[in-house]
Amino acid sequence: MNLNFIVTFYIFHLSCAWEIPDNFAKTGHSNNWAVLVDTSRFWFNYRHVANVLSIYRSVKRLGIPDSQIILMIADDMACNPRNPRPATVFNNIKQHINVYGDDVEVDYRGYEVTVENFVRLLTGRLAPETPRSKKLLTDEGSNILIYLTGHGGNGFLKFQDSEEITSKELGDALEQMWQKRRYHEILFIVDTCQASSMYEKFYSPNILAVASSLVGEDSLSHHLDPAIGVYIIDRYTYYALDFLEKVEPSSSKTLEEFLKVCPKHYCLSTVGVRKDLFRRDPEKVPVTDFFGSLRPIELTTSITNVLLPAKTNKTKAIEPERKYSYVAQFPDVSKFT
Amino acid sequence: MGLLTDPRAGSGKIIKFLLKWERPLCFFLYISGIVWVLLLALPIFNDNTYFSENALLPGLVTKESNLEQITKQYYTYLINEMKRYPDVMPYAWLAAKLNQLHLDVFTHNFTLIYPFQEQRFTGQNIYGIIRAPRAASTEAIVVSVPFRPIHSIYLDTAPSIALLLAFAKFCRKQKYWAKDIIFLITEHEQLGIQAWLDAYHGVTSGNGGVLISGDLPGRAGSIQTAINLELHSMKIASIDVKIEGLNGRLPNLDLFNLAQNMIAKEGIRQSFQRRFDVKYKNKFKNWWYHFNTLLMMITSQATGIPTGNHGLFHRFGIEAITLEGFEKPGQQSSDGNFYQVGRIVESIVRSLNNLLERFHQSYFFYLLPSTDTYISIGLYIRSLVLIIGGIFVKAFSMWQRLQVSASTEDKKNIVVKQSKDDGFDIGIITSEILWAHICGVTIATSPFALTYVGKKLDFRTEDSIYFGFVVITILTLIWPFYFKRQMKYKNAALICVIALVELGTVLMCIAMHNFSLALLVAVIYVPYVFILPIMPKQNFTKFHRMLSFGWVSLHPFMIASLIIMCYTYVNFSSDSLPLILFRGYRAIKQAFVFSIVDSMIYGNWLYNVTISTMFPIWFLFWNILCSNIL
Repeated sequence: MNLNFIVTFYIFHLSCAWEIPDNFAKTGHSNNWAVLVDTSRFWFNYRHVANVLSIYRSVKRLGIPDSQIILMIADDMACNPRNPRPATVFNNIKQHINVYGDDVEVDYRGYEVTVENFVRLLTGRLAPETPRSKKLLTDEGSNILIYLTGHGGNGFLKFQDSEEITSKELGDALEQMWQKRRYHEILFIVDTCQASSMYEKFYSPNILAVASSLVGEDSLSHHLDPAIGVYIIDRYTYYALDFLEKVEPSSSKTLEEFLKVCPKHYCLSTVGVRKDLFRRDPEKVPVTDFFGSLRPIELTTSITNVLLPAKTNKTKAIEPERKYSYVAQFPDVSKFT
Repeated sequence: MGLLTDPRAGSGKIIKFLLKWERPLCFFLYISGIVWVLLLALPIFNDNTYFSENALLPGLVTKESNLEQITKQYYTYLINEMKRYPDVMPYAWLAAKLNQLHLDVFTHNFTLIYPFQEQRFTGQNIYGIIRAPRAASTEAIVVSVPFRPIHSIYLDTAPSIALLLAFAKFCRKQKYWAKDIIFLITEHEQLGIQAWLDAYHGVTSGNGGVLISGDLPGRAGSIQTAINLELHSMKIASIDVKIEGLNGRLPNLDLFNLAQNMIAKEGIRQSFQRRFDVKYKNKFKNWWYHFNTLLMMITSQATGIPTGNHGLFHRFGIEAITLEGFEKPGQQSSDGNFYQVGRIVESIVRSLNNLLERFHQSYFFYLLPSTDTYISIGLYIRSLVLIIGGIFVKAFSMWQRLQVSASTEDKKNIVVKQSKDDGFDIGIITSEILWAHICGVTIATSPFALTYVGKKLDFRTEDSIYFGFVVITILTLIWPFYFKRQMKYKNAALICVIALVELGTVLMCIAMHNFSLALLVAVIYVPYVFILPIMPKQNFTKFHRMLSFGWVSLHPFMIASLIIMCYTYVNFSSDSLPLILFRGYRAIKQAFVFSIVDSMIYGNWLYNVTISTMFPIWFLFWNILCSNIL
């Protein structure tokens, strides 16, 4: 009796010590994906490529594997003949971090970055022969980070100077994803001019949308690298990265903090947020729910009986006996001989 | 009545109004057009220039060049070499220097067969190509300099050749070129560049068999832009950006802005039409200064003669400008500043290297009242439209009057004669118009015949063309007096209407190509057309007679001579009157020859267009003025 008490006390104690953070265990997702898109080409849009590669770097550092990151880059800045630092892309004037790195896996490049491919990717309507690396193989347990950068206007985002995706199309694509159970939650970030117009037409649940500027505002570039001769990075992404660099896979920074990374006097544009579709409180959602790839592991104190299968009831498949015979040679020349 | 003519036409309110106020309205339109031109120079009518092309990234990159010392070295070598060959280009030296830099160096030979004398002139251009290290050779930028021997009458360009070599040396080491760079040194001013461009593109721009450009041994990609350097000293105090090209074409405004911005950034004074940006506090003075700059651009554009070697690129869709550097007069002590000049060229070429497409974003049609403001075609074309509008109002109301008079006559005579012979005599009208135009075309093609005859009489080309033109002018002037002709008022008026419509149309067509030329022609001809006394002779007063004789001065040859005389007077006003007249006389002779030769070699259409369109129109009016109108 006494012994029994002690044992139960110990067990209680243990469970207290290993208590799991509240918000940690309550995520419903089982895997993390990221879709990072740069929609603009040309040398003077260097910063957009730097933006998207910086985000790529962060999510990769926080644990999303390359197989679950779809990276779409419309132009090859590293190999642009105008680049005075060949085979590099920098996102900072001091050229600290070469975001092009040595293990960047670009899934859609150059002219493959089209509206059609993007929508097909999201909705999973790609041709069956599409390689696995180009597919968004998400399910109803997937948290997806969608990051778009490029040149936008009121209600559209320009792809490669030749076509645009409208906010309505994007909203419909996300709704299709929801109906096809392709996501659990989406963090949608868009860094373009008049970016907030992109999320206005969303109507599917579980989406938290962040935009670098409101309708009528321009998103501005952060700074210039005179050695390369182009603007290096956009303001919103710069400050977002500044925040993300301090995030570790184990850190408990919340989305609410992430939403405040770029106040107006930093960004020069107002960061727009749309929370009404998101069912959770961003204050209680860790950033790593979207930027990292932490599988929620539930520790349990209750004993579960894992029963071994008592009997193996294997039925032998009866193979029908086959008779083999030679097929006549073709063409049959026997009658001519 | 014609089938398509509404019998009630002419009774509308607007038409009545037009008929009543025709002359005041015409003059009102003309004057408002002129006022509009004057207003164009007002700062509130101008927009500040800006960059339309995103890809240029002007001046964002750190400039790395320091060409001062190298330029000086090249300059001293070059001067020595030029002294050894005072009359020709030191081909071997230039080619060797470019070769030393490991460029692809080629020479290009060309021949000019002078159209009237069967003389041959030869020349050579030298060019070296830096291939873009990491891009396909599909696009190219040209940096060119016209070579001028020591004995040339033009200002020296040796410093710019030294800079070109130094810049080539700098460029060779850089790895960021996305376009080939062609370093081109041309001989014989515009002939060299014309021959080179013809050879590069495999075309003949002028008349066949005049400028024989041959072929090029080496090419780069399609040329996107060109910068022509004419630096006259090793101490540059100011740089003038020249833009006017052949037939009044202009480079894209973005290129001009780029050059002006880069010059300003390096702290060298920039100018346009050799006039600095001066801001007067007095508004009127300010306007007057801008207006003069504008006027200088209009006059230089109107001639259609390129102000520099850049002007010949425009035909091929290549945007080009000339940077002309001047020394500050009287300033000798200061050090050279090719450090800055080199950086200007570097930053311009670096920006051009960033281009992804040909210049297409900004304006191709514009006027400039200063280096940092512009007037777009949408603004300035209105002035000409107003002026030309007057011509059409005049033509329309004349036509309406004819209709009205015809219909009233019809009413009177309807009882007497059903079909009175009061229609227009189409035969006379057509033949009149046809003959005038045939005369125009004949005169336009006459120089060959004139020089042929002149040669028989042992005249020089200049003389034979000049005196030939004098004879033609006199003939066309006195012809109507020898063949006194009678013409019905109706026919005369219809010819007049047709000539007016032609004038308006021709002016508008010219404006599409060369606004300045059309504006100047319109300003001169249009008011006179309004007051020409087209009426039966019995109503003629002395004043009318004077007016019609005034038309003589608007004969294309006459007016050209008058303008050149005025120009000579302005430039040499300190000389005595006989000397000015003599200078003017010689200038006129040369101008005629040059305009004809230009049209043959370069395809300048000033001569052809004025003679084959303006002359017939003038001639039609002159015939009507001199014939006996009943």
